Amino acid sequence: MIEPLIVIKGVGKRYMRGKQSVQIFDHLDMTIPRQDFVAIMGPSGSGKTTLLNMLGGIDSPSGGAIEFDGKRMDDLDESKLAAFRAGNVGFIFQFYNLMPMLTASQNVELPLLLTKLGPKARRERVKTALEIVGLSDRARHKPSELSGGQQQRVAIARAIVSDPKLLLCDEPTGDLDRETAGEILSMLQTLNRDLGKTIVMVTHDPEAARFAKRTLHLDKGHFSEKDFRQ
Amino acid sequence: MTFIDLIRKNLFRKKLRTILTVIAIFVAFLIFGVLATFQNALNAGVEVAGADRLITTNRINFTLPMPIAYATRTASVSGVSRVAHAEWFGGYYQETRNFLVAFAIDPQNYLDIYREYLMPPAQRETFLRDKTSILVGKAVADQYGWKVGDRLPLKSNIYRQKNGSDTWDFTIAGIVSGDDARVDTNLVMFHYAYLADTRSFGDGTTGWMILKTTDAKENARVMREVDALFANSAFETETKTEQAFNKAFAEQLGDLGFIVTAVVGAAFVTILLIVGNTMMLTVRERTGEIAVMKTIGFTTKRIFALVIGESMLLAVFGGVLGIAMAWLASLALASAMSRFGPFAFSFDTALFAFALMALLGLFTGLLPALRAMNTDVVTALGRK
Repeated sequence: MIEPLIVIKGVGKRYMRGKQSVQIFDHLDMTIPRQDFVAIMGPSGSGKTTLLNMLGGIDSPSGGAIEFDGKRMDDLDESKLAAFRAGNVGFIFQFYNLMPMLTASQNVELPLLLTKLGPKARRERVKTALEIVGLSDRARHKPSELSGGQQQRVAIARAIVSDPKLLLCDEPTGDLDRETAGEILSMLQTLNRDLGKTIVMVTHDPEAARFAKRTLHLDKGHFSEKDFRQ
Repeated sequence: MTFIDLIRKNLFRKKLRTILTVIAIFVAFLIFGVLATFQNALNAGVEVAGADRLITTNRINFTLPMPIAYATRTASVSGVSRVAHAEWFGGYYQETRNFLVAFAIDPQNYLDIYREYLMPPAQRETFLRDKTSILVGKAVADQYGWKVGDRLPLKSNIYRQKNGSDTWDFTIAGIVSGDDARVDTNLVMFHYAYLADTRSFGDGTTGWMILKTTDAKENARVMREVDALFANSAFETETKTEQAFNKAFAEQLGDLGFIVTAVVGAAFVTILLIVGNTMMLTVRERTGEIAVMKTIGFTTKRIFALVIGESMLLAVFGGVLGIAMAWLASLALASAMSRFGPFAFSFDTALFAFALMALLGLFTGLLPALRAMNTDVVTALGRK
């Protein structure tokens, strides 16, 4: 049996909208095994992105517990959460979120500034990451000089450069045309299959969800599993 | 790439905005550097004043004379080791606009007391021997290109000769330099006897006396006793420490310390607002990027350090340019401004400027850095 990477037990999330308390979900349970590639779908406001943020340690649950690699992470303080993110999680956003003043290689190097790696080791890691996403020849280009697909590849390289166990993708193809989206999703599949990365991807697009190993539907605070691969 | 590279790239991502802000800081530090140098020039006399030197002037006003005989009587006061006297000549060279600080001095005693004036022994000997010779300060010699042995006709806006002439002819015996950059060498000195023998009025009087005391601790008593010696006479005296006298003399131009502080303070408050506002705007524009950095794993402390580092770099960049320009200006203006004192940019001014740069960077970066530090990642990412 594959050991779970993430275990969510009875997690709830509520927030205040004005004076009104809004419950997004309550007592949510989920287990994500290592090397899983799971797509999370659901209607707007169902809490997909909120769940993703909690898995990445940038949002905290109102109740319940989240375990990562067998350890509670929902009760860590701010600096420990930052260290957790730097060491274990790679984020891929819909709008790439690259630093406009940095070149592709500098953007990829950014998370490595938080490590103890020396300049040479960092350069090698950046080179490898850019090779994986097929952008070695664009290393010195700034984001404004790259297409949307290329920018998303740089964002993927940035996400994998510190070799995290978990990749969290929030609508990673939401801003791309169908063909480019297919390339990006294939790349995520490769990262999952060949490099063993566990991937959790939030998407509205059933076509994108087909690339995942399984798809969970989040609606009205509950999960249901569907298979879009057929 | 390093954190410093990251700070630098952030700073120069909007070049025009950064350049305009740097110019504002540059101007503030240029003003500071030049005014501080000007103030230093005026205070140079105060700073190099001897602790064991006193100045005795006419009690009514230091421009009024006192009998030359006072020097001999003062020398007998206990605690006084040497007395010299000097007279203001009101001299100028060729035209009134070529105003000179010219003193008619009691040569031997004056040079023995003012040991900070340096010259070769042979030049000193020539000066002491020749009553019509003159010592020229290095600053004024450089200004007019005078050399030892040159003939120097000086006019006075106070005195006339007994023969009706307003011009005294001198031979330059020596060029005087200072043992410290702060020693003012913008002056000329000649024999009192030459003036006394030739002037048409002012017989038996001199301008002021310089008293060297055996110990600075004796100053207060000596001052009291000297003034008591001439109390109730036609020429009552007032004795002060040289430092107090020089300070009072410098303040004739107004309280320059206050003026410098007010001008520089106003400039800095303005710059503080400009730079602070720019930094705030910059951080506001980068809210999304800051959220992404936090997501990647940057701690709030690192985010704080990045923003403070940026404001520091901005302040240092503009400040160093401003101070460098002030230094160049002090070199260019040294000759023209020498009448106010040695116009030299000081190491202390540079040190103080660097402290101001650090404070400027800290104050202008503090609020934006706190704002960046407290950026809520979920909210900021949601807005993107």
